[in-house]
Amino acid sequence: MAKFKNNGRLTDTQTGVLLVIPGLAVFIAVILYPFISAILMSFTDRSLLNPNSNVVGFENYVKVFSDPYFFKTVWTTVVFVVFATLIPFTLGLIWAIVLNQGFRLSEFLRGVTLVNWIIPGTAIGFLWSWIFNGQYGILNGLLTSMGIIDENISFLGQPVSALICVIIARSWQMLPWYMAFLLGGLQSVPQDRIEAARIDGANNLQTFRYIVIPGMRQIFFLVLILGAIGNLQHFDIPWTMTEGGPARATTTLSIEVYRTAFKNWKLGQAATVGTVWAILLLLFSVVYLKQVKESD
Amino acid sequence: MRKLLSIALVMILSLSLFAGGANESTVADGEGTSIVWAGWSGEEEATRDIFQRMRTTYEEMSGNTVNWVGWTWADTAQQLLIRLQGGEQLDIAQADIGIFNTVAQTGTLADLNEVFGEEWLKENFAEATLAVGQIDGKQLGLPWSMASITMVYNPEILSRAGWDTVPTTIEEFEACMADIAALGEGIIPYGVSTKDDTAAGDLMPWLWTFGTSLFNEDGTVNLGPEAVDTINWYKDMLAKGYIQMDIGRGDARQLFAQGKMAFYDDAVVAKGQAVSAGVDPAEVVNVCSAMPRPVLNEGDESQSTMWGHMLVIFDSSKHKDTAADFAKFLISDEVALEYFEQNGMPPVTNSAANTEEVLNDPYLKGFLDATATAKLDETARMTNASEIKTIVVEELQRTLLGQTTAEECVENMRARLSSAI
Repeated sequence: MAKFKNNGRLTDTQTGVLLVIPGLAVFIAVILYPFISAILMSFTDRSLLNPNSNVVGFENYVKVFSDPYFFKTVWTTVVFVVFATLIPFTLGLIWAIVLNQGFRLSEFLRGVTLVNWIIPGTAIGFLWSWIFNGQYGILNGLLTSMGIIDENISFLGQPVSALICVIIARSWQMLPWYMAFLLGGLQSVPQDRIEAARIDGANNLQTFRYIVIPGMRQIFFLVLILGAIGNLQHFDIPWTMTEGGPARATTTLSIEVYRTAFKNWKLGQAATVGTVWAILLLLFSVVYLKQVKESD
Repeated sequence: MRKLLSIALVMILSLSLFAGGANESTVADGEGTSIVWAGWSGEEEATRDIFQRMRTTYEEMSGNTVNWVGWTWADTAQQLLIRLQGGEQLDIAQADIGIFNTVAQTGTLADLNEVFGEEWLKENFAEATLAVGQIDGKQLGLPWSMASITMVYNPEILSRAGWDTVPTTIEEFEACMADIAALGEGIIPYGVSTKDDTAAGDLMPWLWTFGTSLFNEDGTVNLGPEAVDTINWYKDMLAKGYIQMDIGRGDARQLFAQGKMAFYDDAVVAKGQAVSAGVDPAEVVNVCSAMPRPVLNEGDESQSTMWGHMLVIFDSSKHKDTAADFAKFLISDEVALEYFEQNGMPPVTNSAANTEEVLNDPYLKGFLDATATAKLDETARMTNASEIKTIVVEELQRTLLGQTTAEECVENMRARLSSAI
C-alpha cells in the first residue's frame, strides 16, 4: 500500500493516480467494456429478435469470410478511404497555401470554408444526393441547360459514379478539416528558413519542395492517418446517399455492420464484421501512436 | 488544498457524466394514465396532422396522455426491436404487414383475444380481416386499415398519350409505355422500384404475373424459368427507358405527384401524397387512380400484394387497458372515417367498412377490387424478411446494371436465398 509522505499529504504520483481514476472509469465504461463485449458477442448467435444467445464459436467468422461479397466490401472500403483521404488532403493543402498568403480576405475565407465541416453528415448526404439525383438533380438540370447532355444521368444509380459521388461529398465535408490542420502546419514552418532559401535564389516550387514539405512531414503524416481512420469509420454520407447500393457498390464496412445488425437483426455476425473492422482501424492507430511518440 | 480541489472537481465532473445519461422515466400525470404510442405515420408529412388530432382528441376525451414516439417507416422495425430489448416503455404501436411478423417473433406482443375479448373482435371484424393479424393461433395484431398494393396511374397522362382505358395485358402495357415515352415530356412511364427494399416488393407481383414466385409453399426456393423471363422483361424496359435505376417508392411518389410519372406501384396511401401536393381529396381520382396489374395472357388473374396497418399492444405494458381503450378510439367510425377521407386509409371494422362513403368511393374502388385476389408479400411471415429482400434487390440491380445475365441473376438469387432461409 502506498505510503503518505509530507505529513499525510498526497505525493504528486498519488495525486496523478487519483486524477486518472475517473477518466479511466469512463474509458472502461464507455469504450473498453463495449469493445470487449462486442468481441465476445462475435462468438455468439445474438439477435435483435431474442435477448438470449448461444456461443457458436467461430461460426460467424466462417460465415463472414466465406461470403464472396465481404471481400468486395473490404475493397470498396479501401477505395473509399484512399480517395476520400487523398482528395481533400490535396485540395486542403492547396487552399491552405492560398490562405497562408495573408491577403485581405484570407481570414474571412478561412471562416467560410469551415462551414462545410460544421454541417452534419446526414444533411450533407441529402444535399449531395439532391445535387446528383438522376431525376430532378441540380447537376442534371445544369448539364441539360448547358446543352451538354440530352438525357438525365443516373449518377447514383451506376456503381462507379455512385462511389465517385459519395467520395466527392465526403471530400467536400472534410476539406476544411485538412485545410485547418495544414494551415497550422504551414504557419509553423520557420520563416527565417524560407527567407534564407529565397536569398539563396530558390523559387516558389523549390522553397515548397525543400523547405516547406520537410518542415511539415510530421503533420502531413498525422493528418493523413487521422483522416484515413475517420474515413474508415465513416457511415452517414454513404448511407444517406445510396444506402450502400447500387448492387453494394458503395457498401463499406460501417454500412455492412449496420445492415447486418439493424436490417438483418444478426448482432453476433455484425459484431464479427465489427471486430475485423476494428483490427483494420487498429493498424492505422498503431502507426499513428508510433508517430506521435516519435514526434514527442 | 489545490490538489484536493482538483480531485473533487474531477470527481464531480465524472459523476455528472453518468448522471446525464440516466433514463428519463415516464410518469403518469396524477389523474390519467400516460401511454407510449409508436409508429411512423405521425412523422410523415401526409399524415402528421391527423395523427396529432387523433392524440389530442383522445387525450381531451379520456384524460389520459398519449406520448408519440416515431421514426421513418424504414426504421420502425429496428427501433421497436432495440427499444423492446432495452426495456423501454412501449404500450401500443403501429405495425404494417411487412414488419408485423418480425415484431411478433420477439414474443413481446399481447394476445388481443385476452385484451379485447374474442367476442368483441368477432363482432367488429370480418374473420378474413382478423386472420391477417393472427400468428400461431394468437391474435397479435388488431387490423386498422387494409387494402392492397397495386398499380396506380395518372389518367391525365394516359389520356394525352391516347389511352382512355388502362392497359390490361403486358403487351398493351408496353405499348402504352411506348406512347407515353413518345410524348417527349420527360415523363417516366413506369416508376417500378429499382432501389432499396421496395424493389423486392415490386418484383414479387411481377414474378407471380409471369407464373413463378420466390418461394414454394413449403418454404423452399422456387424461382422457376419464368423468373428469367421476368428479369429479362425488366432489362428490356430499362433499355427502352420505360423504367429507371435509382427509383425508390419515395422518389416515385414525388415524381408521380409532380405529374412526371405515369404508373407506379403503391397502396392507398398514394392519396395522402397527392393531397399534400395540393390536390383536392375529392379530385384525387383524376390524377391518381388504382388499376389492376396487367396480366401476361388475357384471362389470367391480376396480381397484387396485401397491404395493411395494424395496431399491436405490448405484453410488457403496464397500461394494456388504456392502450386497448386508445386502439378502440382509433378504429371507431368517426376517427376511422376521417382518416379515410383525408388519407384514403380504408377502415376495416364491419360498421365503418360498410358505410356508403367507403363502399362508393371511386378512389378506393380500384384498391378494394385488387384486394380480392391480393397475396401476402412472400417475406411477410419470415423473420429475416429484410435480409431476403436485400438479396433479391442486390441481384436484380447487378443484372440491370449489366454485371450479370438474367440467368445468372436467378441462379445467384437461388443460391443466396437457399442459404438464407
